[in-house]
Amino acid sequence: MHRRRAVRVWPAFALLSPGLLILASLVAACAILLRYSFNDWDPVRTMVPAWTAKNYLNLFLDPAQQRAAVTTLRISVIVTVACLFLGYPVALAMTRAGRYRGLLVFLLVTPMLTDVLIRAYGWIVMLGSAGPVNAIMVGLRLWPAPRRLIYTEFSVVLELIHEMVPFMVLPLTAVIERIDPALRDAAMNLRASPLRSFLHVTLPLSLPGILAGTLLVFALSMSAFVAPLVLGGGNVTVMTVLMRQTMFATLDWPRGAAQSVFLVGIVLVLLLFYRRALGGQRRTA
Amino acid sequence: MNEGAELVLNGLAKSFGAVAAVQGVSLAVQRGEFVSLLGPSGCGKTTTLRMIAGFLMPDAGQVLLRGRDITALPPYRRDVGLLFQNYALFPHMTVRGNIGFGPRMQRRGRREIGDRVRWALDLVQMGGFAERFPHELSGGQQQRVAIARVLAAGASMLLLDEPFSNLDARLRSRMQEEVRELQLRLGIATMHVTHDQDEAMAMSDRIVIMNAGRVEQIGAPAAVYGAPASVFVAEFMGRCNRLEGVVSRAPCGLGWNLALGEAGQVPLGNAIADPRPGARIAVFIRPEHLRLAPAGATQGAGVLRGEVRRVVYLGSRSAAYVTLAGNTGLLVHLPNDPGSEGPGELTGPVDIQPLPGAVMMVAAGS
Amino acid sequence: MAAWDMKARGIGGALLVAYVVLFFVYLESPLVFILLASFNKGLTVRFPPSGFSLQWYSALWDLVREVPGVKPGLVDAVVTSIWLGLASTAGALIAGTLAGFALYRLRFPGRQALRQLFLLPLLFPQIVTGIGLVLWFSRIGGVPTWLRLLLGHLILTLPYVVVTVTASLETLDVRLEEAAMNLGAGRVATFFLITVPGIRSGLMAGAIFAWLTSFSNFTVTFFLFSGEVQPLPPWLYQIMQYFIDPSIAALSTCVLLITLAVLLIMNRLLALGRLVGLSQ
Repeated sequence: MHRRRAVRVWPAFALLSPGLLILASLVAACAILLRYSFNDWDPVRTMVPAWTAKNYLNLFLDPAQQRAAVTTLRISVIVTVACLFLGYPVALAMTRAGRYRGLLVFLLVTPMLTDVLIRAYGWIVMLGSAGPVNAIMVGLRLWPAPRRLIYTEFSVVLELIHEMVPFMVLPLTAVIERIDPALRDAAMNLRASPLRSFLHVTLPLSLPGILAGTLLVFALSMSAFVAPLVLGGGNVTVMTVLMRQTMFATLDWPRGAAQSVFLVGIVLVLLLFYRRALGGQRRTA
Repeated sequence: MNEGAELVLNGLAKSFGAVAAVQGVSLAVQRGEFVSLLGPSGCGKTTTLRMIAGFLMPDAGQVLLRGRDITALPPYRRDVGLLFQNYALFPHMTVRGNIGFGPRMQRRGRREIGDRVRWALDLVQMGGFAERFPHELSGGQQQRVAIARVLAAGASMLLLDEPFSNLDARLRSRMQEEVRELQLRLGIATMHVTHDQDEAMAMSDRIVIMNAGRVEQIGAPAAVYGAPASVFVAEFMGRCNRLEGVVSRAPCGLGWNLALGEAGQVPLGNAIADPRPGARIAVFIRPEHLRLAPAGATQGAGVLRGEVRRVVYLGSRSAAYVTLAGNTGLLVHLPNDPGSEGPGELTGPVDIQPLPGAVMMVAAGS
Repeated sequence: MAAWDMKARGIGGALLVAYVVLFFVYLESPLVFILLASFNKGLTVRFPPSGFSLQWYSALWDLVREVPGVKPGLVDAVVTSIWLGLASTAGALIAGTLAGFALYRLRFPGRQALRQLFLLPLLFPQIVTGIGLVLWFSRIGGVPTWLRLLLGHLILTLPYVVVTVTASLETLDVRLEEAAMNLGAGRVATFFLITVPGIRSGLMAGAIFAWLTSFSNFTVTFFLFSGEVQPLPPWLYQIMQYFIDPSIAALSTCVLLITLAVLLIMNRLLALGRLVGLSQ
C-alpha cells in the first residue's frame, strides 16, 4: 500500500524538482524578508536581530510612509478607473473582431513585452516641453504656453495607464467572449435595441471580468516601480519608490523588509480575489 | 394564397462567401398554422429562420409579416418570437425577470408587466417558479420558461429553432405535445426548424422540405410522405425502396406492370399517368407497404420473387432484408403479431407483393 | 452561427471601430515617437520635427565602443543581456517543460496548489522579489553577480514557459500519448518522441516569451546588478540619468525593432490569444 503511493508521487516530484528549486529562491527571499522585518535598526549598528513590531507600526505611523501610501492609493485608483473605462470598449471590440482579432491581440500584447524602460522613455519624449503633446495643445490654442508635463504625478499616471490597460482588456475579453451569443440574440428578439441588450445582458454578465480586471490592475499599479521612478523624477513618492530609498539610501533593511511584506500582503490578497472572480467562470453560460 | 397569410417569404436568398446557403425560398404560413422546415444539416433551414427573425440580412427576397415588409427591420423591431435550442434564458435574472424582459423593453407599466408575467406563467403551468433562477430548473422547465418569455413579449408568430434536440426522448415527445397544444390554443402561427422527420410529422400542419438551400416540397405530412415530389423527399421521409424496370402490359389486360426481369413484376396501378411500353423507369415503394409470403404461395403475376437474408426485431415491427433474384435489395417492414417470436420465422425464398396503391412515381429528373 | 454582427452596421458600430483605432494609436504611440525621435535633427527633440537626420545613429555607433565615464560600454551591456536571456531561457525551458508536464498530465496530491505556486512570480511584485533576493544573497554571502541575476531571471521566466507549455499540452490529445504507450513505448520514450514534438510550438513560444522578459526586465535586475555585470536595462537607466539625448532614442529603436521581429516570428508559431487566456 505504502509503496504504491510512493511510486505514483515520485515521478511527479522528480519532474518538478528543477522548477521547485528555482521557486525555492523566491521562497527563501520571502522568508528572509519576513524574518528581517522583525529586526531592529539603528544608524550605528545597522541591523540588529530582534523580534520587534516597530517596523510594522511605522508603516502606519510614519508620516513619510503615510504620504507614500496615500499617493500610491490615489494613483492606483485613478489608473484602475481609467483603465476600466478605456479598456472595456476595447474588450467588446475584441470579441466582435472576427478575423481581425489576431491582429488586435498582437497589437495589445506587443507593448507589454517591450522594454518597460524604453516605453517610459517614449513618454518622456511625448510629454517633453517641445514634444508632440505640448505642440498639439498649444497649436490648437488650448494652452497658452507649453506646460511642464514630465516628472509629475500626471505623467506617472499616464504611463501607468498605458502599461496597465492590456491587463484590464485581457480578463475582460476572456469573460465577455464566454457569454453565450444566443443571449444577446434573445434580448434583441425580445425587443431590446443593441444598446439596451448591452446594458441589461452583456454588462451584468461581464461583471466577473470587470472585477478581475480591476483587481489585477490595482494590484499591479500598487507594485509598479519603473513608471514612478523614471517619470516621477523624484517628485512622485509611491510605496515602491520609498522602499528603494529605504533599502539603498537609508539602508534601513528591517523597515524595507516590513514595507515589502506589507506590499506583498496586499497584492496577494487582491490576487486571491482576482482568481476567485475568474474562477466563478465555470458557471455562467 | 398569400393574402391574409401571417408570414410570406418571397424568393429569399443568402450566400456566405462562395456557399449559397439559401436559394430562392418562397413560402407562406397562414394564421394559426404550424409549419416545419425540415431538412438535413446544412440545408439552409436555420439560415432561413434567422432571416425571418432579423439576425441575417437576405441577399435577395422579402419577408412579409401580416402584409408588412419587414425585410430591412432590425430584430428588435420585428414581431416574431424566437425559441432557441439552448433556451438562452438570462442566467442573471429570475424566471420573473426573464419573462418580464420583453414587456420591460416595450416600456409597459409595472402593473401591466406583472399581469403579463402571471398570464404567461400560468399558460405554461410554471406559476410557482417565478423567483427561481434558470440554473435551478430542469431542461423541460427551462423550455417552458423560454416559451412563456416569448409569449409575454407578445408576438404574431413563433419561430422554433430545433428547441427539442437537447431533451431526452421521453421528455421530447411530451414537450412536443405541450407546445403543439399551446400553439393550437393560442392560435399563433408557428415556424419550426428541425432535422427530425418524425417530429415534423407529429407536430405540423404542413411541412417544408429543404435541401441544399432550396425548397423541395411543401405539403401536409401525408402528402409529403405518400406523394413525394422528388427522390430526395422520398428518401428523406423515412425508408424507401427503389425499383427499376421496364414498363410492360400486364397479362389479361389488367393495366400496366413494371417488369424487373427474373425478379418478377410489380403492378403499376395508377402510378403513371402516361405509360409508354418499353420505357425504363424507377418507382418507389415504402417498406411497410410490402407483404411477404412463402415462395409460390401467391397467385397472379404481380409478384416479386426473392430470398430473405436477415430479419431484425424492432419491437413494434420487424425489418426483413430481402434480396430479389437479380440482386436488388429490398427492405420490408412487417408488423409483429402478438406472441410473435421475432426473427427466425421468415427465412428462405419468399414472394413479395406490394399493397394496392403502394407504388410511387417520383418526378423524373429529380 | 454567429450572433448578429454589429460590426459594420449603424452608428454604434462605427463609433466602436473609431474608438478602437484611436485606442491602439494611443497604445503604440510611445513606440512610434521614439522611432521619430531617433531621426531628430538637433539635440532637443521637438515636434513637429525640424528635420530628419541619421546623426544619432552614427552617435550610437560611437557609443558602441565606449561611453565616457560609464563603464562598461554599450556592447558589454547588450552582450550581457543576451547571454543572461539565453541562460535563463534554457533553464526555464527545462524546468518549465518538466514542471508543466507534471502539473498537467500526472495526478498527485497538492497539484492544484502547486499549479498556482508556479504561476505566482507572474504577478508577484517584482520590487519585492528584487529586495528579497538582495537580502538573501547578502545573508548567505559569496554569491557571484551572474548567479544572482540568473536566479532572479529564472524566477521571472519560469512561469511564462509553464503557461505556454500547458497551453500547448491542452491542445495535444492525451490519446496520442496513450496510443504510443499502448504500442509499447515507455513513459520516457513517449515523452521525448510524442509529447515534446507535439508541444514544439508551445516550447518555442515559451522560449521567446522568456527571453524577451529577461531581456527587457528592469525592476528585479535593478536590484541585482553590479558594476561588472550590467545588463542593458539598468545600463540604459544610468545613461538616462546623465544624458537624455536622442541617441537613446536610436538605441531604443534598435531594441524595439529586434523585439518586434521576435514577436512577429512568435506570432506565426502560436496564436498569442491562447497564451493570455483567451479561448480560440
